[in-house]
Amino acid sequence: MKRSLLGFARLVTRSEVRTLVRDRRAFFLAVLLPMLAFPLGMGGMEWLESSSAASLSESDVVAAYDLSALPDALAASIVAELGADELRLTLEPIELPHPSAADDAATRSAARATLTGERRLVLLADATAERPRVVLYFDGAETLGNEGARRVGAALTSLIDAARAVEITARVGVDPAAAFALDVRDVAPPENSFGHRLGKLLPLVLVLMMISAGSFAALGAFAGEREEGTIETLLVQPVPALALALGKLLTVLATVVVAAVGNALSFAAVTAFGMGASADAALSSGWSASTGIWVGRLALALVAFAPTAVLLSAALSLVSARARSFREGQHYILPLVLIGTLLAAPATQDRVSLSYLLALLPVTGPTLALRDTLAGSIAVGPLVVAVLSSLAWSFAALRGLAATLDAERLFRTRATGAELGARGVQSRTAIGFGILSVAMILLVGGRLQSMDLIGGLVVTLWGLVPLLAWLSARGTARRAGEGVRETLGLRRPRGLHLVGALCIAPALAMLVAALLRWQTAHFPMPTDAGGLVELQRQLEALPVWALVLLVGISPGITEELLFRGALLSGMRRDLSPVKVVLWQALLFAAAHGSVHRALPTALLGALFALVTLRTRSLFPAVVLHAVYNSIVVLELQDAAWLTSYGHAGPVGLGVLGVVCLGARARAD
Amino acid sequence: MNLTNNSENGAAVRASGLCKTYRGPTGEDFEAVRGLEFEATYGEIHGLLGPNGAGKTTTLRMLASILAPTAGTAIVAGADVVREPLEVRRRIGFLSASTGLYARLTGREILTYFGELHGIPREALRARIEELIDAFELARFVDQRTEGLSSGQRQRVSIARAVLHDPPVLILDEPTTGLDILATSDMIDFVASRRSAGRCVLLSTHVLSEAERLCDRIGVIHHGRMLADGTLDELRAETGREFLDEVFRELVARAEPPSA
Repeated sequence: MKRSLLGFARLVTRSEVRTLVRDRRAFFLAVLLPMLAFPLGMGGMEWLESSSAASLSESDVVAAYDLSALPDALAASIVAELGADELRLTLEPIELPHPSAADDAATRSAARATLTGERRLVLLADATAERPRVVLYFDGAETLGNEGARRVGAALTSLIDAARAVEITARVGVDPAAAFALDVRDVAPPENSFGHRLGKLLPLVLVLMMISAGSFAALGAFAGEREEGTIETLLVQPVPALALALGKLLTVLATVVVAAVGNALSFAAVTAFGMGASADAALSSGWSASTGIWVGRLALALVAFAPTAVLLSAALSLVSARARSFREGQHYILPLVLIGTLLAAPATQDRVSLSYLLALLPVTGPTLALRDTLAGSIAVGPLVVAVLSSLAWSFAALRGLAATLDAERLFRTRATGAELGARGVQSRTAIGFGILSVAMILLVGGRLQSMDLIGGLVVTLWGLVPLLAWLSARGTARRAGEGVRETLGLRRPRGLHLVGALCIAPALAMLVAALLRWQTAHFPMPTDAGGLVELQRQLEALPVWALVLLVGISPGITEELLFRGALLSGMRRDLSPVKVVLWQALLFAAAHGSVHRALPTALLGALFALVTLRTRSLFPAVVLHAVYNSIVVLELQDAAWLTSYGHAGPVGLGVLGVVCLGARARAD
Repeated sequence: MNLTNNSENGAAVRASGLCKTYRGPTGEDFEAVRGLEFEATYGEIHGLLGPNGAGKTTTLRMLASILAPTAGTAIVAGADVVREPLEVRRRIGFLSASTGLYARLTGREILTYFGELHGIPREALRARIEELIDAFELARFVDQRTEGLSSGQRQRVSIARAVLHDPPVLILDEPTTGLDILATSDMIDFVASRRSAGRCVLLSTHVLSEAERLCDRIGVIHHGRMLADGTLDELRAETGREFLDEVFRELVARAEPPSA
């Protein structure tokens, strides 16, 4: 019985799907999670908000007041306004020392001392200023304090507005009714606003769900088969390896499609029939008004997205096939998730529209097309380009498919003996430790810095990061039978290399600034609340030298010890330089936890890794990193600082620096 | 399978000048097999004996057409491993110590899957599986998922899988490694039964007693080279030693003079 390539592939798919269906984890990741993500996420959030809002609005808030500094009539009207039943405020008159200025420290502490027991608010009148004012003291860390402040604020604002209207009428002789009001109306058809809302949220979650479901199938089909020792049996069957790989790819694709369809439909259902829509009742009418149009759009959007499903499946398969085990494969999926998030992120931004340029990018083009199709605002040209380019991308990825089950590669390492296998351990451990370090820096370091910025930074940079570096380097050194200093790359550098590092720093700062400008113009990423600007705002109390020391030089030393010292020396033992540089870029970008700065930090990570590989010493990268960071700090102090020297200087220095860094490393 | 045709020209397996060089990830070469020549005939159990890392597994994988030889070639059951790898795979059964089973499939599903990959027609496949269930006493557990089976039961499913298409040549890579006493003796009985059915069995081992007891001819491999190939008596005569371990040590000593 002769079978075609597809005939064999179908047999493989049937067997793989059968295996998957019997695995509860696969069912969870491919079906349950994508379908429940939106209902649970949106419903849960809404329930939390509504239940806490309900209990809050029902609770009484005790407010003390001393308005004796105000004219009696005004004080009486304020008390009357605040005494309204629906505000649920219990008012207590008290006496406080009259302030000279209401925000004087003494008054503040007196007010704070008054906030005891059930008392959440203190209102204190101050007549010393040009206009009489009422100062409201509350404890911002308390839920009831915030709630009370909100109620008082709303009540008094309307009182102030009313007073103003009366005042204006009296002074100018204008009827307040003649003033105009601004009314903002959205005239988009309900199905379009519904689609727009859907389109902004859906693509990113969709891509993540497709990756999480597909990765499980891909790991099982490729890495799992190697781990369980069934791959050899499969490869000795009279079937072309391409047919086997194709069958496995189809399994991954099926999983990805199931996850995508389940995710999209559950989101549509949630938005249309309830939870998500209650915040905006117009949306549910958006669904019911034109269900037909809308189902058509969803179908068109999913069809436009189909090549991307193939691309993701192929990428997951290629990556999983590199892994010797399920676990190792999971390490490789993380970068894929990061790349997927990065590429899908622009679709969440209103400012980004589907241009021909963006349509050429994988994932980005289709996610934008998906968004605009749902909103009914898609232009045909970019849509066609996005579909065609994603077809081309997936075709390119499929070309690698035959190599996934290449026996020569699969059986190479084991056959060449224990030594090469043992050497693979160094890079695998380094990468695993790198991922762990990034997680620690983001979680522990981030937590510390949110509690106390400066202290947290100091502890992270001089405690956590060096500790991680030492732990990683110690393990690598022990396995390699060398000293920790040697592993960290603390070799005496050539003077020329240090000069080179110093010289390229200004040009690097300019390059990164230009890169960020380009990114903002052509490929905007969500900006994050954190980042250097926020950091600088909070640190502005510090003198410049302390800033340079803390944010400039410290990371230059300790981050280099971890990334280019401990991790790089583990990786470079059995990875090609290209892979080392790519991993360094990825980990360094991830450690900074900023989508907005992902591109520049990845570039910096790659460059520092290159410098270290070339000079075979850690010191040039330390110098480069510290000087670069310090320039950025100084630029934040005075934006024109660097550019005031013109472009020629930094560029010239940069060229000189590259030449210096190109010099051969010191011999062993 | 056209067994009689193959039997006429004698050799079931004929390797000539077989070489395999691996390239490591950092670029250095490693010669696993260096110019192997040998022959095995039908109705014969041919052993490949050698220490770990001698190149046995690589040799068997080349003969099974999983790996492509760097130089040289081999004819297995009348098909050339370089030019007609799929034809070779149709004519061999392959089993190694590290062979696993799909944990979430039942024995019957696994047998059906591989039978279909071999292109056996549905009805014939069903009958053949029943036959194997009887022959290897699988009836009690063949419809359970293999993750719940004992290692002995799994091994029986694996063996049934390897002979599903009744291959004229069976290639076994250290088939008894990791098996307990009972499972090992089952395996030995099975190998012997293939010989009596007129098939060729090629097996690698580093267990001397197994080779001594089971193999009609033994090829001694060391560092990717065939040091000697013949019946046990021929090897004894060649080296002048009585026991196989002494024979082996003598052959290695000759290949590597003490000065090297």
